[in-house]
Amino acid sequence: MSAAAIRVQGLSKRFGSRVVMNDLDIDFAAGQFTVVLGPSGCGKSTLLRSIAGLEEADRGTVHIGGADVTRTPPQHRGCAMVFQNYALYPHMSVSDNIGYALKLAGLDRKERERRIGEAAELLGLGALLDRRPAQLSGGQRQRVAIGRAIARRQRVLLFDEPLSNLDAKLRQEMRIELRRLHDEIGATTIFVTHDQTEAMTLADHIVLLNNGLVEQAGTPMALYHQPRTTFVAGFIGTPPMNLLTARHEGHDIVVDGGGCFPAAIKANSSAAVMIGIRPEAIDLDDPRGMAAVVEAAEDLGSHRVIYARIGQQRVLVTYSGTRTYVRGETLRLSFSSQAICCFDAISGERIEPYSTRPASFLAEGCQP
Amino acid sequence: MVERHPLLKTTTLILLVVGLVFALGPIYLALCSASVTSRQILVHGLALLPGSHLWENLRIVMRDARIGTMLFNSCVVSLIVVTGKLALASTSAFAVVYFRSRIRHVVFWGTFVTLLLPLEVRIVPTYAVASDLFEPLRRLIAAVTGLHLSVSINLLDSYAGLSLPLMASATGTFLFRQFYLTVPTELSEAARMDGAGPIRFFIDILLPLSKANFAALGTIVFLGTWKDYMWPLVATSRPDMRTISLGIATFLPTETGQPPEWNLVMAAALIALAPPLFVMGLTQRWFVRGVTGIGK
Amino acid sequence: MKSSARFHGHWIPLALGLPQLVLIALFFYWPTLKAFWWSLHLVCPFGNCSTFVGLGNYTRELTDSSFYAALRTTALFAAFGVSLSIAVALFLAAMVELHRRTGGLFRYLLIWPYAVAGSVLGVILKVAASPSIGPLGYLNTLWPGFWQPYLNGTQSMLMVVFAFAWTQIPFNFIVFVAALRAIPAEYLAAAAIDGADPVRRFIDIQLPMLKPQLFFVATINLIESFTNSFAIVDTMTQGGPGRATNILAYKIYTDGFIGLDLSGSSALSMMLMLLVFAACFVQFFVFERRARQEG
Repeated sequence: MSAAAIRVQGLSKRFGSRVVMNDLDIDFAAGQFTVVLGPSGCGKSTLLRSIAGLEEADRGTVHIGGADVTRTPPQHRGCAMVFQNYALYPHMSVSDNIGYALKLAGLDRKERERRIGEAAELLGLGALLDRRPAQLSGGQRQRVAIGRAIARRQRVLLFDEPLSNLDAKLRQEMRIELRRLHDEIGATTIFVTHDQTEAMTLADHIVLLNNGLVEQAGTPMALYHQPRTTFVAGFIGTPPMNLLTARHEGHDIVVDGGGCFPAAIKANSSAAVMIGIRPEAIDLDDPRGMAAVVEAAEDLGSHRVIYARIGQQRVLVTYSGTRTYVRGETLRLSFSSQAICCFDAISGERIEPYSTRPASFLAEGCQP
Repeated sequence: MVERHPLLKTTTLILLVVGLVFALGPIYLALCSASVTSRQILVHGLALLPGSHLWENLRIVMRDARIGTMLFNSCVVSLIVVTGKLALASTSAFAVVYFRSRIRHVVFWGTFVTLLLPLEVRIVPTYAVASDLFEPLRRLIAAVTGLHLSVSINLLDSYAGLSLPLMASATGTFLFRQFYLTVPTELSEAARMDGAGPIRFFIDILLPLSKANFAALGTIVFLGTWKDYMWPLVATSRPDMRTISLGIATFLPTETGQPPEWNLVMAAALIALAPPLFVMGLTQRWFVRGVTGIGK
Repeated sequence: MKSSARFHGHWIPLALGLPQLVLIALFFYWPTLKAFWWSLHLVCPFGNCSTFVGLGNYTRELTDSSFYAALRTTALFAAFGVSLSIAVALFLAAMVELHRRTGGLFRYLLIWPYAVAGSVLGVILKVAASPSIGPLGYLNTLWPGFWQPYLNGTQSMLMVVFAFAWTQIPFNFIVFVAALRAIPAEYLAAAAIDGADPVRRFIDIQLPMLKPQLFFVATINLIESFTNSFAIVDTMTQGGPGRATNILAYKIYTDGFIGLDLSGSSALSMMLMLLVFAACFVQFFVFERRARQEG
């Protein structure tokens, strides 16, 4: 099975007055596992369905493997798809479900049985081939749906939130299984989800959509460590990045309700900025750090989460130490300036640092 | 249901039994009176308890050639209408639900207006149409080409005439439409991804899923056709084309003649109501689902 | 987003819908048009000559006392027939619902009358109502001359109303039973905990939730009372005694086929169509909208 690159250009679609895809340009590299991530209503499903040919975009083109398929009906695009509710044919057995497309494609019985057998083996469905979908568990149905898609040996595999109907434990198992399948098959895979954990664990490449626009595209680590906007910062990671309002004064950045540190960004003086800091990058117990009052603490066994306040601002800290904190206690928070992302408070866009000189957060007064 | 009300339970049970007596009373009355002799009825009035002459009376009535012909006609007409309507309803509803073309609006509205006006209110002109089926075509040809043709088809006193007008209604299409709308849209999308065109999807996926629907609509249409009275009344003039629901009235005694044999009238009524009752008893589950489907 | 589930193309939907459309055009639109055309013309008994008279046929009918008599009879018949069928069906459905677990036999048997044709019922009831041999003849031994359904207009009306309700109840019953079963048991449990007895629960919770079905059933029954009553009237009373049960549908038939007055009968047809149409309109636009707003 060869993989094919997919290119989407200028794709736009509106339902009534709501714009679900706003002039999207996205490249999906051949053989890559790309996760299209975003909150509900961001246009991710519409994008997937436009690629599959189930939805017609108002404007724009779709190329698969270099060929323009914008006007091609779905069955001739070389895509196979796994639906959110699996869409198994209720009156057909598992093997008939997997083999239906092969039969329509005119494959002879022998070849069909071989491919069904292969897909069944790959997914551990061997004992279930004669059952009806109603006799299967949710996880098994999911496997059949995936088997139906891969048995067709298409160049492109599309997944529309396929794990959202499974319970947490099964979802985790299927994640690992899907990644293994992808590595074995090597087809170009587009996987739509609203779950950032799925995106972080599965993807070679993430496309984060919001309001019909690409917020950021890149590797999971790039999105995690260098979010391009406050939206990305808040969407990726559990718990998400802390966003604190601050001002840019002279050479310093002054956090509202707390201390300040040397600015390493170019910004208009006295401009309002947001600083983003991951909960795990905060040091709780730095004598020079800024004061924060503990509001609540959760112990998750492997690590602890503290909800604290700096002035009026809520800040979340995770740490794996053994020390416990109680409500009302004062923390001394500090973090390395390298762990910080600065955003324009109005546009929400990241301001690139001009210096990577390590500097620590200082509680009182910024020294030049 | 939530708490115990022995008194309420008993009272309602008694009332339900009373309801049942009224519901089955006429059938029971017919059964009893059909099982006694004509003399007994004339002397003691209609029987309220079953007698022992049921088979004898049924045999006498069945020997009357009229009843056999009528039963046969009813069966033929009902089966034609059931088959035709199931075929028309499943396909036209498919056109209405599963296509993007504007044609579906034409089919939808063109069909659904008939829900509003039953056959009975337009009985006289429908009779005229059935007696001269080609009139619209002749008029059209005359208007366009000026030719006055003299082809005509008279559907009166024919099985086609008895069944076709009964098929021209929207209930079946409506029922199938309601059902198709409950089929997950992903199923048709999956079929499209698998390479199935509309006709393939219809035959391979939709029809097998509609089995219960066919049974439900089939029962409703069968009963409706079997019970129909007014259309056979106007569409037939020859006695040998009458259906049983129409012909049953001919068993009522006329003013003059011999003393009426009420037991035989009731036996004929029993024969007339037995087949539909049998069909419904057999398919009640689907029938009920069909009726509630219309009610939604 | 239904549109994405649909197929392209015009020819296939046209081919699939055409047989039905042709049939409907022939036996629905064409006769309806014909009735309209006839209603504006004076047509000879066999329909082969005509003169345009405009609304003449309508004014003729509207000034005819027999039209108003038929209209009044129809209204009476519809009002009593429909309310009786709904009330009894609702009552039975509510009671069966109380016996949810044990009521299966009732649910099964109470539907049977649906299989009985109006004409068959008419024949049975005509015999059963006979003062000389029927069970009601006993009334005459108590009050001589009291039960005379074929001479007394009120009694014959009662008879056809009873027969009509009998044929309609099963359908209504099925709809009501299904609707009652669809009401979540939590509502009733909550009301019971709030102290509502079964009767209160029915009035305060079940009945209001049945509103859409009530309106639906009322419309269907109303249309049936205009149309399907024909078999009953024809087998039992032929519109008599006098004109006591001469409902509009029966008058259309007798005027058209026996009186051979195609124009007058067509004008009546058009007016009956209007009535049916109005009933549907009210159901669809007034109640349906209100139900949607409430729901």
